[in-house]
Amino acid sequence: MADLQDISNEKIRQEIEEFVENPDEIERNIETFARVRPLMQEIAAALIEGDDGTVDALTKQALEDKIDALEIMDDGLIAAMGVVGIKFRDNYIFVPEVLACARAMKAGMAYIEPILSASGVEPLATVIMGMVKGDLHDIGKNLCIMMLRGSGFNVVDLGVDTSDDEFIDAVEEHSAPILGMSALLTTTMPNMGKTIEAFIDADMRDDVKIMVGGAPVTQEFADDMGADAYGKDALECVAVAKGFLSVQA
Amino acid sequence: MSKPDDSSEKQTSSVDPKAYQESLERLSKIFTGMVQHADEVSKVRCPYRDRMDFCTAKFKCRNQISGGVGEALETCGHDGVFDFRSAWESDPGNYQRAKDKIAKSGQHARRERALQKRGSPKA
Ligand code: B12
Ligand code: SF4
Repeated sequence: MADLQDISNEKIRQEIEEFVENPDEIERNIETFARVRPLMQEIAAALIEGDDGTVDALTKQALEDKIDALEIMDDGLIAAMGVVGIKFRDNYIFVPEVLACARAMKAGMAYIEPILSASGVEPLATVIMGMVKGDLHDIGKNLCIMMLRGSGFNVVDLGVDTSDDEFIDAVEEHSAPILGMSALLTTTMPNMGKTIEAFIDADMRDDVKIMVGGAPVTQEFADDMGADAYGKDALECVAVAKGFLSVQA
Repeated sequence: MSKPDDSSEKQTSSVDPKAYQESLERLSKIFTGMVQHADEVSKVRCPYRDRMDFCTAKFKCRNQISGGVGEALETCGHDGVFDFRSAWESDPGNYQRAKDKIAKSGQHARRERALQKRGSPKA
């Protein structure tokens, strides 16, 4: 059985010592990190810090050192996310830190994705996501994006305050079969309906499946505005997107 | 941050799709726990408030307390113990207006779409 001292990276040792309390989880994390090479531990440590620049540089270096892409994903990125999940669950960190870690994960995955592609592993589909016009709350949308990416979708994030034209241009540019719109305000929620109208005016409504979400949105509103689906949380967002694909298939 | 370049081309081995699928499932399981917890936590704590109680929002909020000259982030001054979600029912007027607007745009959208389908089918 491995011991904490078998982990060469000091930061990882500290993280396990300070933040992981459950004996099974301690054991599992020690086993994992004691087995992985030092560079993977460094990637993991940077991801736990939410340091996207370092994850970017180290992932690049690892690939140049001919380390397997899946090893980087499993032993560096996902192993680190496991620790982030525990810290979040136990209230040592909060949503902003989690989103910083998700950004760092994305920085690493940006190098892995072309290799996946070259190996014939294509993303499930491209999803365009954005907050509607006038809406600046983006945390829920970002969590949806994190889930979608973690489930194998390619996501184009249009950010906040997105106009009809920006949604339309993005769907066109990326030939995206799925669009997700989010609104957190009662005053901006009707803009989802307006965007759907704009897709009809552009004669593109049949080209794209539209899902909507955000705290004020309900199934009833989604039906009224003519969306194809509603999702109440990030898990449903993924389920809805996958549902669209199975309908298309 | 540098842009991903051709390092992937230097990679000799390829990825086994089945092994990748298993990795993705592990990741998805971790994320599932995270988003469930995020939904819960944000009922009582502003999701823009980080672990040091700094505000990470890129907007003005009345709860922000300026940390003085040179402070990159403002401190969150909210007591962080109430449920923000109850605020949804706070303005019935706004809610009704949104409902009306959505119903109107929905009707229009359905009409237009039906016309389009009848008129010029896309190649
Ligand atoms: C943080 C926050 C802010 C912060 C600080 C607010 C403050 N402290 O005063 C900031 C500064 C950004 C802000 C600004 C404003 N806010 Co605000 N804000 C919130 C708060 C607390 C959290 C939002 C959040 O991130 N939730 C957490 C995430 C995880 O949940 P979520 O976004 O709902 O997302 C989940 C699901 O809905 C779903 N989902 C989301 N998008 C999508 C998309 C798809 C396709 C799918 C399938 C699913 C999906 O999945 C997500 C994850 O599971 C909410 C209340 C709340 N708890 O929801 C108020 C709230 C939304 N804000 C509100 C208001 C009024 C405002 C302001 C207008 C205030 C003002 N007068 O300036 C501004 C508007 C700015 C703008 N133009 O957008 C009101 C809205 C009321 C209403 N009925 O419209 C609320 C309810 C709070 C309140 N006290 O009044 N806000
Ligand atoms: S100051 Fe406002 S936006 Fe910032 S963390 Fe506090 S409540 Fe949230």
